Amino acid sequence: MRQLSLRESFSLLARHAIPYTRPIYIAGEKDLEKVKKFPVVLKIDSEDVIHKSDVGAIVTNIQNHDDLKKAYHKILKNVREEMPRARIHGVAAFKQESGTELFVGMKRDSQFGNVIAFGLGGIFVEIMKDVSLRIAPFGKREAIKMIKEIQAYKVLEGARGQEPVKIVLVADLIVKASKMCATHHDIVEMDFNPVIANSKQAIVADVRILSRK
Amino acid sequence: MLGYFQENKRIKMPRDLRRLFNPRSVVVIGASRNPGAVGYGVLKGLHTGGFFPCVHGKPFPGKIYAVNPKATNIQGIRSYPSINQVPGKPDLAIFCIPAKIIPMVMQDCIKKGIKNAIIISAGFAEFGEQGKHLQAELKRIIKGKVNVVGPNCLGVINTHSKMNASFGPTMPPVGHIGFITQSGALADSIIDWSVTERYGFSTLISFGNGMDLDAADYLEYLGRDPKTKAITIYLEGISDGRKFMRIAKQVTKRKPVIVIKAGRTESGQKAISSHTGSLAGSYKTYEAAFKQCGVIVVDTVEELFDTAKALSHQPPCKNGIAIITNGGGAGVLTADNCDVLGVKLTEFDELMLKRLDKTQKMHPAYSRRNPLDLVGDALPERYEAALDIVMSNKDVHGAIVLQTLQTMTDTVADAKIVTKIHKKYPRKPIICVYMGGKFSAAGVEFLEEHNIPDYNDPRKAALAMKALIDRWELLRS
Repeated sequence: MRQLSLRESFSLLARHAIPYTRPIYIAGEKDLEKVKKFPVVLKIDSEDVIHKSDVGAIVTNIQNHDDLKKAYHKILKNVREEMPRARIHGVAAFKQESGTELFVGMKRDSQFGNVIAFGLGGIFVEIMKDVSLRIAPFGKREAIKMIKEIQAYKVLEGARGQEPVKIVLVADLIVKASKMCATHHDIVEMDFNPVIANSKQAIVADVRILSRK
Repeated sequence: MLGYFQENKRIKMPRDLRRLFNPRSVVVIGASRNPGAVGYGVLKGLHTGGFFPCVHGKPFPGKIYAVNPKATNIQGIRSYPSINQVPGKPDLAIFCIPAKIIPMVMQDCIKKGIKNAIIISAGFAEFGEQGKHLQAELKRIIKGKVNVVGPNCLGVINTHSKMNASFGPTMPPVGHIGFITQSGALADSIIDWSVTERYGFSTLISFGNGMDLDAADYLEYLGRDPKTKAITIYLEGISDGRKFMRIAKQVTKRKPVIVIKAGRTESGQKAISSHTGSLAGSYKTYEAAFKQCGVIVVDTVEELFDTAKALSHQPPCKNGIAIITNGGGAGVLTADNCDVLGVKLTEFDELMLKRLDKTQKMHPAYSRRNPLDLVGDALPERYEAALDIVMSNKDVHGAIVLQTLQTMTDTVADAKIVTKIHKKYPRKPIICVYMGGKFSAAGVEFLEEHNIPDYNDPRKAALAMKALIDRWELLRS
């Protein structure tokens, strides 16, 4: 059982036409030049670091090269201190997307096979347990039902002046994710967390895939 | 080429279980003269209808044989020393003998050509490593040759073919609810309960360890059984979730299926793993799987049968109903519960109110809106006039009729009105809440005899109506 690296995970997503924020891989300090547009999010590129924010391995809303450099050193230092045994490939910069943070996950169940989970990201999943489940495979219509089933659905419709989320795009992403898991039997667990969704797109901003080999 | 065969193997033909549930002849292996033994109760259940005398218990009309090496006659039934001596080829064998000799006796049954068996005896997979081996051995022996219910179960009751092939206390009233249960003891109590609560059953199946036939097989059978109109299931775990879903998806298109799943909580799950030995997945996963194939999930045993009662007797309906009451408070409570569940109340238009006024049977202070409060002194004529006008409206798709007990209330006459109106509008469901007890009992009895479900509380009625609306929406999608 192992975590796929960021590169492996994203190439899998690409093969299944699942939209994701393109990473700029930064192996050394001079690679920081590759970042041209701001704001960005900087994250550790290591399959051993699962809960990135817990160890200070993620910095969001970086506006310029100075801050980027600071964030780069901070992340590496934090991870080396907190998790000295973690294998580190470097860091990765992503375009900072704006929208509602969602969660799409998959778990393999001994009775039913692949179970897909959907919810709002962050505390909604972890504390409120406001998650809807479906047994894969299923179509878009079922995916839409699944989205509407969560208690926080109103948030997606754009409560309090927030930009509403285009539900069909999220449904599409859920269906693609479920198909991806159905074709790759080695995937035991998968998390898209967060998926950032707004009225124009639903895009995977971070991914974690646990594979049997 | 290989792929082709694999594909074929996966889509299996449903097994023919008709003779298992409607046998012409039955043999009780391990019939006993001792009233404390299971083999006594089972034989008694067959030839009299039940251990406890009850109007619903009916003797099995087919042939009954007993097997007991020490007796020639048990309870007036001819007994044979072994299965080999039993004449002919009984359609069904019921095993009440110790677990460890069952494989041997089963082989004799197979030689004889017996195709169906119920194994009541315990001591298999639920009973340690030794029991697991025994069950595996038995499974090899019967594979493809015998349909087996159990082991470690209560047995089967089919009220329509008058067969009590179980050690259940008696038979439940004849009806149209099918019940599949993983717990035998629960079935015992439900039978007892059904007698007072008037839940009518078609077939009860306690399948215990589900060694051969599992919940999905029974679901498939009851899905095709013409006497069963709604299927209820008590489940602890499923051995093959995918198979259950595939079958449930088909069956729910024809009949409502309602499930109560034990083991919602951690302590419940612990009890299960030491109970029937089935793997219990997470409750949420089960719930999702059930809903995805149109299965209704409920929380209490009462809700299980309350829902089944409504769905087996009343037609599904579009959202938009009326509440008719002779008590304001009861009407408001019902409206509240409907609102919470998403059951919409149709707005009454001027035309309808004019028609109601025109009957000159309304109280001057009647509510003029939905819920329609007819006021406490409503007599049967007022109920009738109001119900008829309300039900004839094209935007009213069903009704909850409430009755509180006032001095002038005639519960039986009111009940007669309800059944009369239901006959006039058979495609619109009516659900009643005759609130009260002793003095409303006659009315309630009349309603239920005429297949109008009655509940003692507005919330239950709202839940039942919700189930009918959900069913309508499922069938439409």
